[in-house]
Amino acid sequence: MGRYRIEFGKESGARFLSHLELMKAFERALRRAGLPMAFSEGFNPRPKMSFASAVAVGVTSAREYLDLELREELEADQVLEKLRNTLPPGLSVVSCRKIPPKVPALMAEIEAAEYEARLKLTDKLTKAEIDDAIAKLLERDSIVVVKEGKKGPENKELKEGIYELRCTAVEEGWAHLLMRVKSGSRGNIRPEEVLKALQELALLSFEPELAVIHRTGLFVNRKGQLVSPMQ
Amino acid sequence: MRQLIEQQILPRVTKPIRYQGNEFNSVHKDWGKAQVRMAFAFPDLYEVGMSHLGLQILYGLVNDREDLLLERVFAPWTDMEDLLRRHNLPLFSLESYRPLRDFDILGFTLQYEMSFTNILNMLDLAGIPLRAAERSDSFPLVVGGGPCAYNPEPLADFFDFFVIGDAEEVLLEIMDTAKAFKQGPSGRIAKGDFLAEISRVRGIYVPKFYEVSYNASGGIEKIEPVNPRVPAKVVKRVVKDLNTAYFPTKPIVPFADTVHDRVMLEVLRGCTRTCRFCQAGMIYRPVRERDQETLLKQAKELVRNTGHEEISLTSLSTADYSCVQPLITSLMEEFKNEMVGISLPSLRVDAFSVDLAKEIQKVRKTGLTFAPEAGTQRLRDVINKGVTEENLMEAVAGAFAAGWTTIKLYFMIGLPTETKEDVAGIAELAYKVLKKGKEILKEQKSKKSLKVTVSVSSFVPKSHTPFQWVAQDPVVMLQEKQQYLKSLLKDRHITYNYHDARLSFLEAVFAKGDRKLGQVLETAWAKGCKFDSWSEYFKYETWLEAFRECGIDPEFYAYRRPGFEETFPWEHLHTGVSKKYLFEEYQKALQAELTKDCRLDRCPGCGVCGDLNVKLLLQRRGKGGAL
Repeated sequence: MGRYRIEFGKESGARFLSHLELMKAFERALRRAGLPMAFSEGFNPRPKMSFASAVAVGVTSAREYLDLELREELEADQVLEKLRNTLPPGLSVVSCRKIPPKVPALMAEIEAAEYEARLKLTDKLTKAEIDDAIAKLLERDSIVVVKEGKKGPENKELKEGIYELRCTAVEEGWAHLLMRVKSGSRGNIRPEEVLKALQELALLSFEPELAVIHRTGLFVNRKGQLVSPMQ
Repeated sequence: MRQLIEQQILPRVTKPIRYQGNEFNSVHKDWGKAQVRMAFAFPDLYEVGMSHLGLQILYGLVNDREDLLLERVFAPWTDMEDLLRRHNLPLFSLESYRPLRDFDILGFTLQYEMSFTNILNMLDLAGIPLRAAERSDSFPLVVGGGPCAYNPEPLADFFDFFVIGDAEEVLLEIMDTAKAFKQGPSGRIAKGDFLAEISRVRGIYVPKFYEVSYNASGGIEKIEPVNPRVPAKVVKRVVKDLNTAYFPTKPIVPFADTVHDRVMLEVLRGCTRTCRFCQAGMIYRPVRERDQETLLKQAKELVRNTGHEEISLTSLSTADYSCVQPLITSLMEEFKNEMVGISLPSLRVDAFSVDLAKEIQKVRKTGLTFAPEAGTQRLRDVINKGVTEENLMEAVAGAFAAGWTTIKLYFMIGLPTETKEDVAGIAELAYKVLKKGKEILKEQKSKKSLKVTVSVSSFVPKSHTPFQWVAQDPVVMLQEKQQYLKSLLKDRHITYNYHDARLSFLEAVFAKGDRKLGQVLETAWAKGCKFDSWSEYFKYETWLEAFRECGIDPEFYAYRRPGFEETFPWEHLHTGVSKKYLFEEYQKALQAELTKDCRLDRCPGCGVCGDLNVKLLLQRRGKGGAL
């Protein structure tokens, strides 16, 4: 038995994969690679594979993570090499390392996520004006947006979950933002929710459907420090 | 164009993955190097089209040739269509995002009649004139193939030509001929010369070379070729040996969840069971089996190249494959470590099939479906189903004993000679199955809950079958029968599904339709009919309006009982099965007289083997097969 943690990217065309489709794409790539997957028991055996976090349809990501179990113990480099040749376009493995059997599940460990967002502005705005709008948003005591819950619309408080939000540039009518937000099983802020707050509460006007969102990192908490799950 | 679509259009549509075209094993060729470029068009959603084996076969076949190119296009869902129209963008191919107009050939697969309006919609979205006569050489040639090409008359005005029969060989002949007729600086195909040439190739039907005349009662007087150089009868193409025929072992692996998201291993083609309603059973004759070694080799390559977790053994009747048991055993052994499951899409109603199902469910357990088709023995004999109540009870008993608790049963209503008793027989059979299940669960002291699903469709008479002489039940009668059954199936363990009878009526009209229906199709499409087989888009009243406006009575096609002498709109298209044999089968049906499978019994003289110079190709070596 071997347990591995894999860092991968989800770019270009693959950004439209749903989480289920992504899992299936990996299972098939693993089988094409001839890697000896370990399976769950029961009527419908699934490969023992768990992902750090689901990334929304349409969002690209430079760094995603998955844990994988194999029936045999291979070198991490071998796993990486085999997968490299069988992944579909848009998915790419960055690195792979062996992890001890007792390491907690990825999903339980994730604390934060970092995103870059590009917004097509509908008004002519300068970086200073956007900085100002962001500052006003962050100064509020409460940042509440309405989200679609399982039982209809729900209010969601974002205030404590926004760790960082700033404008990095404005170019040709597009504003570039960077945000670091709470992520994982203990509370999850979606970048679309932050954008919604910017639009509704900070009155920043842009075309929400054309927002380009890219995840640049996922982080775990190690002794108070946010670090990559590969560390 | 790709950039514009990816950035501005795809983020706004549901399931943008449908329009991506970069799936694993998709082929992206150099446009400039290809000498003939074809787009394969499936007139339904991506998820439906990508489950079609024919697409994968032709995609691999053409793209294996260096000088040719084949790309895909599916019917865009309505949100995508709206955006394309609003941005004035033409319908494009998935691989290179090129407008369909830029291709030399546009090939539609004709899988079911109720996708015909989608064809017109796709042509329109592509900016291509609908009618062949209005398309100059600067537009692609439009060709159709697949089961509905056996009666393509309602589409005759819109297509340049049709392929009748297996396409594996003839498609390359078509593309080579197209290559020879590409000319001038524009590099477009000289259509007139091309069609004159191709019309003499076996399996090719060029509708404009055939003239149809009608008699006073609205039926067909005669169908004649307009010149002596084209054949009076177009004979279907048959691939004689599937072992040497092309089969793709690097099929495209979709990202999206498609209808059949698995490896399709075609074990045989054709069926000789002679169910009298079944068009596939007639048009795909004769039976041609692949040998076991070929199948095992293909299965290994398919799993290695796709990574799929399931192999579906496809055919019209896989349990009939001579070596089905040893094949399944070998496949299970081969893939047990990789957890690749085997599935059988269609099971025959007998204990043997249940044994096969038991064997394959070791990896993954799927539901079980049986198709007794009719509720009484008399009616099952009329349709020559060759299944008895004993067979069914044996099969379900085996299934319940093996642990299945949900069973699905398929039936048809509106079959010829059907009485109230036959309809009630469906409910009786369902209750018997349920009772059997309860007994077995009681014996096993199991607390599991049982579910029997009764799925009932309405009989549609199809061309080239013994039942082409049958009049369809009127819509109201079908609806009454549906409601009658509903009143009989009142048990909470029984789920009852049935289809919209109005859709089945239109299906019958187009299945038996002639060239006059082209204008109805065009009118209905112009009034907004598309995705007709999707209940949320089906506009029955609009369809009736279209018929009225064109002065055409749809009932003429669906409800009339033609005589033996009547000339059918498909009379000039020959499947190899003789009309005389079909009529004999029809007469036998009315007497509830059975015809045995020609593999087991004497040859009933359907004519295929002699007429097409082909023969049944069976793998007799296997033990434990159904034979």
